[in-house]
Amino acid sequence: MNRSHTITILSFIFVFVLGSFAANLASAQWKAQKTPPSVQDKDLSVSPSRGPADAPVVIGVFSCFQ
Amino acid sequence: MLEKFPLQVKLVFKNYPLRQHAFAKKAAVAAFAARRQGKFWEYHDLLFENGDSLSEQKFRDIARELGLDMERFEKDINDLKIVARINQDIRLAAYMGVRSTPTVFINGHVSKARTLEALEAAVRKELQRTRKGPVVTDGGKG
Repeated sequence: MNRSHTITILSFIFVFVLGSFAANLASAQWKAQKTPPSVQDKDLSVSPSRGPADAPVVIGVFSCFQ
Repeated sequence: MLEKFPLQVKLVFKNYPLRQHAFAKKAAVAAFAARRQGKFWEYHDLLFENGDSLSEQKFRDIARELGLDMERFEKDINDLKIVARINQDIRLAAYMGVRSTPTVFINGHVSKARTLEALEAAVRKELQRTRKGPVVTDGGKG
């Protein structure tokens, strides 16, 4: 294998590695956009509720304040 | 319902601010800001009492009326974590097919009850179904 072949093959490998890196980066960014932000606050981790925690009947109400 | 079934019913509040109502989402955020000071339900009740006149000024007026720490309240109504929390409820509503408010779920199943009597009947039916003990009420005083 002569010198020009070696350079060509190395160039292909470089382009391939660079392309894979770019694709992974784009994929990670897309996932980051699609993943809902996690809520860390303890006081926000559960919905407001009234009544006993072990109640056999749980009424969930979706409400709008206006 | 909580007065009628004090031991058997738990009420869980979920946000579904309707887009056509300009202050609905901000009201939800303000209620959660009040929650951080332990006053969610009080704030919730006053929001509904003032449903026709909601504004950013009204949110502050209600907070003052409840004796909230206004500096903390101002900080919390701009907290993106609270906005994210409201958005979680909205996504859940979309997932569960909610399109209007109030939408009531009883043990995870949507209820068609539109009156207190119908809701009470639905709760009694669910209590019988779950067989978690006798139905104890306040004797109809609530």
